[in-house]
Amino acid sequence: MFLKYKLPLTFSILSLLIIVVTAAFYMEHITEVMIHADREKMKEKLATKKLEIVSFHYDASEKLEIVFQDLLKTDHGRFIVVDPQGFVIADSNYSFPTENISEEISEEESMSEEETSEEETTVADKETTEEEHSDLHEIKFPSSDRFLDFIEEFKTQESGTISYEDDREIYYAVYTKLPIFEWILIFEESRSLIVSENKESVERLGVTIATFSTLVSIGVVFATFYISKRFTKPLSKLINAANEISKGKFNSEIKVVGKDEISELTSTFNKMTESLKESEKQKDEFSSMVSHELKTPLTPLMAYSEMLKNKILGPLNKDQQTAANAINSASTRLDNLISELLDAKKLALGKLEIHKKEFQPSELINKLVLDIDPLVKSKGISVITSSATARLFSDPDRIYQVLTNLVTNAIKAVPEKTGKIEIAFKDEEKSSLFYIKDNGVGIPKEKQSKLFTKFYQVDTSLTRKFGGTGLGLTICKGIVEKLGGKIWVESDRGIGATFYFTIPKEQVTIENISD
Amino acid sequence: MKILVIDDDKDITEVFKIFFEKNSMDCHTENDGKKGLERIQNEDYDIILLDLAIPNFSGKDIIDSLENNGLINRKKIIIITASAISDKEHKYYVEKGVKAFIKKPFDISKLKDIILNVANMP
Repeated sequence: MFLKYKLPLTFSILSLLIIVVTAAFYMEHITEVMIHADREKMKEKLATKKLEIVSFHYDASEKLEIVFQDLLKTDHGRFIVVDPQGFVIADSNYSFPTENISEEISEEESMSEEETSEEETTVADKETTEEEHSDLHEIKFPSSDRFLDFIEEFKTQESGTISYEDDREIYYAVYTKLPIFEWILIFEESRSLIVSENKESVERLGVTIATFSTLVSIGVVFATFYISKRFTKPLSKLINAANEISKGKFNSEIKVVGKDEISELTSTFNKMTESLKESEKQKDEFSSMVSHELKTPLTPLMAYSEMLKNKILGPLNKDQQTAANAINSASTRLDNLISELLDAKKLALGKLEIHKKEFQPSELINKLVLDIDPLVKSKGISVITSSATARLFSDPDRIYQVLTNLVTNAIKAVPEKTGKIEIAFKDEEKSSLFYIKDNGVGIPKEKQSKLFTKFYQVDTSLTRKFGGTGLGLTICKGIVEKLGGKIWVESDRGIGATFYFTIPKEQVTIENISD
Repeated sequence: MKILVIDDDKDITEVFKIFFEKNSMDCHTENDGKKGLERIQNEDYDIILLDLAIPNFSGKDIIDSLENNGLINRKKIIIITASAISDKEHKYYVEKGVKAFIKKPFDISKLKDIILNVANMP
């Protein structure tokens, strides 16, 4: 079911995906934000170190680079000093081999001992030439070559942030110019360092995001199923009620809950049920009322005409007798026509009355033979019957109506004197089979498809002769099908016709005894 | 044989009257429902032919009243009606003691037999 399961499931999965993607995005983003926040700390550290360097009281006897190397020491991160050409002057990650230092220092000391006595100068004041520290260029600092890309930037900017990487790491750095030979002080932290430093807060934040998104996800799943239920529950009720109505039961009124479109649909549905109920009622009333109204005047009409004809009201002269006969046969035809029309209408409305009971079809056939005897005798035709003695549970009057109709057609179709009609009832396994066979004109194949449709008449000349609305076979079909059976014909031009109909066998149960 | 026909349609009551007279049966007619009930209660009839669709006081009302008065068992009633009767209604009337049903329009030739059959019923 789409609304009940597929829709909320799809929606939940989509929402979960969005939540997960968003959470992942934020997790990733957090690292960046954190790195950015860390840079501020880095800048502070840089500034502090710069101040430290600038205000360091430099002993002139000491070699500048060595001094720097000491100054740069840090327990966290890495300080590097580069010159404007990008060469590394000092690197806190590097430690000089001790012999070299002492040698160089003693050389320097002896050279400058005389010149500078106890002068205390700051590093910034110190002037020296390029040559003096050119020896240290021989030393290959761990971070050499790294900053060659940034030379241009170093030239133009006072300070800034840069980032670079090697095979293993990404590095973030802040730099500032020193007031010494245009050297640049750099403070570097690797990404993994930053991440590990802030690990705890990242983890906490991560847990918060994960918990939050899980809770939201659960909430979303419940919400979608709840919302879906809000729709499917009343919809199911509507579906059930609609089913009941299609079965002809109009008592399902659904309680209207809420004020949304579904409740509007529900109350509109209830209104529709009401008007269907009303129209069913009108159909019922039509069936019974029109029936009644038409049959009422027919009653005295037929009674009097028959009494007149049969001289019950006194003797008649020749003309009076003719008149009486005509009136009687006309009123009989009228009665039949009205009955046919009413039956057809009722069938169309689904209102044809059916009364089922147990009966013996052989008795019906016997009655039929008696009833058609006058017609049969007047036409000089022969009728044979064969009937199983089995009993049947169905509507005997309606079946009689069908048999009468078919037999009447057969009598019309067969020739005088040589006409033969066979009426049969066979008891078969699943249903009973009735058939009426005649040796009349037959029905051409091309006309057979329309045979049972309303007002269709195979030969209108026969109709003019014998009367009939053309509704007969339609009514037969309607009755047979309402009783659960099938009706069909086997025939062709010139070889007569056999009309078959089946009536299903039913067990007598409480349900199918019509009330 | 004393017969009472109760039907609001005068043509129908008249045709019954003529028919029964021609068959040497004493036929009385009544077009009003309430008056019909009174006549049933106050007079003795062998057979009562009762229409169902009488305005103001229907055939059903008459039968229900007779039942309430405990008189229903002593009367032989045949219902005549143009409407189709459902099985439920059929059962209802049979339980109340109605002996036969005749549909309008009826077959004059069969009417006499039905009357005699009902008359012979216990």
